[in-house]
Amino acid sequence: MAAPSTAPRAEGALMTLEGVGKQYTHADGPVDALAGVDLVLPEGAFVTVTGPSGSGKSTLLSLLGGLTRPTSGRIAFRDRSLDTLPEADLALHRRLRLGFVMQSFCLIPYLTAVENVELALALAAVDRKARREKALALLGQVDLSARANHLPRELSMGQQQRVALARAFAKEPLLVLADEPTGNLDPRLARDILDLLERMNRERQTAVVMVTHSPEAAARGTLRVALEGGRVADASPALRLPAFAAR
Amino acid sequence: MNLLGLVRRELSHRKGQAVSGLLAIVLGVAVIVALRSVTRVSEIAVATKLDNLGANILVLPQGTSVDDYRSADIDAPTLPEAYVERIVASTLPGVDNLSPKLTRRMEVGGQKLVVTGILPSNELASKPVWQLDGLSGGAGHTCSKDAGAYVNPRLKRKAVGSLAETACLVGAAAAARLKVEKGGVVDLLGTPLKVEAVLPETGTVDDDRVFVHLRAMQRLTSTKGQVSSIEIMGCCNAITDGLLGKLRNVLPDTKITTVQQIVATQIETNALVKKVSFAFLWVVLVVGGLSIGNSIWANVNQRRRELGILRLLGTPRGGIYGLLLGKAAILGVLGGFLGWVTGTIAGSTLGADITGLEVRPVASLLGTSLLVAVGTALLGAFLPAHLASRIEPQADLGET
Ligand SMILES: Nc1ncnc2c1ncn2[C@@H]1O[C@H](COP(=O)(O)OP(=O)(O)OP(=O)(O)O)[C@@H](O)[C@H]1O
Ligand SMILES: [Mg+2]
Repeated sequence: MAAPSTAPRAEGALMTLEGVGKQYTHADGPVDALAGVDLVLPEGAFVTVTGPSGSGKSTLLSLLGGLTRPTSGRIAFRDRSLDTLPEADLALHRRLRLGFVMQSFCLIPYLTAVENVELALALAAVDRKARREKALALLGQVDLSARANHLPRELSMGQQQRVALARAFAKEPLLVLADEPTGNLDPRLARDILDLLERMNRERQTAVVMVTHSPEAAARGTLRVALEGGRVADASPALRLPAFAAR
Repeated sequence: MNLLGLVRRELSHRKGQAVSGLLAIVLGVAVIVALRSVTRVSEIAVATKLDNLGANILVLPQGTSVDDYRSADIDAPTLPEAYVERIVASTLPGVDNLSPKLTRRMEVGGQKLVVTGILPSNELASKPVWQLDGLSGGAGHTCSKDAGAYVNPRLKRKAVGSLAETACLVGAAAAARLKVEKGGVVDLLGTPLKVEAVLPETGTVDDDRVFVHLRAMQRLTSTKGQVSSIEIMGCCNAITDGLLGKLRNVLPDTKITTVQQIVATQIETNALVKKVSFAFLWVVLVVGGLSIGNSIWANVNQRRRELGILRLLGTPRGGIYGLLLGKAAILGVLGGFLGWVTGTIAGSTLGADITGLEVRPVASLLGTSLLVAVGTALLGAFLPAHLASRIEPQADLGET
């Protein structure tokens, strides 16, 4: 029997989830948002997560991002177990290694586009002088150079999501987590965002996990997971936990 | 852009809200500063008054209060001038100078002024024992050093060598009000008096006074042989040795008081105001802290989403604390400064009206103001900041 304290590790895995469950306590009784999830997330992969509403997609993303802790099972990032990591270290982990793109953009309303990107860089301890340069370069990549000094409310929704994309990728994270990043956008703008996500993933070798409702968006993933009732209903073979580690 | 930049940006984004939270602190600090700057001036005034009185023992008519002495009303009681002789005759040790005075508030050249009748030194000199050499019994004697613990040599006035009964000396401020100069004429109850000199400004009540010869004063006010006070320069040692008691034996039907007692009321008032300002300090700490706390609390609620985003981006809990306490500290500095400015302005305008003294800005109060305001703001912001640091990073994830 493998010692339960060692983090599960599959070859070439960025993240490993083993028997992960998340139960919410509620006045009407406990809710199992996720149960018995075994997954391997390979380095640099573009993974899409689908499933009906309430199937646990956002919960999965929260767990991957260290935003919540599982109520059962183990989660590891490379060699390190996230389960025992103190809250402060989880925050450090997020600001150094993770990027987030949310359906609602999540920009700071009183900061300009370039400042929003810079803030993430500052949190990731990027050198003061390099910040602006890097932020502007990223805004250039999402085709927003002309809007660098605009506040979020002065930008269209598509533009706001591109700023969020620039912010997520600017610090050169190892993993970008996207929760329905195109959910608020019309199909043409959605396609732009998906193109960008795809390109960033390809060019930078940054792993991306994207939750989506749209089959078209889901098809963009090189690897796919389908959730149902908090369980993995279907997954690309590369995402399955090898038998030896699953035990 | 970093956390400090974020604080500044957020502050300028919601200026009005931030400033309104400051109001209580600004007002509180202002009140403290105003009170303190007025008392400080008043304290200086007390010291100056002690200096200028020169004499340290005052003989007043029985039943008069220090207030009566100060107001010098026309019907204020008097005591016989002959008492001066009595003191002299008693040959009490430690009595250096004697200066009888008759002081009345009266109409002079259409202005309400205080007129003091004095005996010039040439007349006093004719009475060898008196050895009076000052306008108000100014010091200059062997024991004056220890007698005048309050005496500031710079403030000592020149003795009035001679003063004719048809002449007067006019204080600087009084001269300005009367619009007279040296050589002019002042009308005192129908009698024209030549202005012998306009006294140089001393910054004391003397500036508002007119000095005339005691005899002239007695004649004009029909109080022949009467004075309103006798100022005595007594040796400090003699006073502690019971000079006051001995004087009371010589002049049983008078009120004998020391100069310290004369200003005691003002000293007490100063102490009271000081106490009040300390009490106010607590009010500021509580009310100001609550108001800042309330404002930061509202701010936190308004920014829940934004703080959740910051947490999502990996801002540690300490960073959230820093964000809100930093904001509170900046507001505190602002509040302290504005409070100091407001208090200083209020103190110098109102204070001048109330005390009649010039109230100057007290720079050292700025440091205290900043300290109090920042401390208050931090105290008030602590709980909201603590609660804000508990905001979960995924606050936004569930939201669609
Ligand atoms: N804080 C919570 N307390 C109780 N139950 C929760 C909580 N958060 C989520 N749940 C429940 O967990 C389940 C999974 O939620 P989750 O948000 O992960 O679904 P989802 O797949 O993202 O849905 P959608 O597609 O609608 O966003 C749902 O049944 C939900 O009601
Ligand atoms: Mg969801």
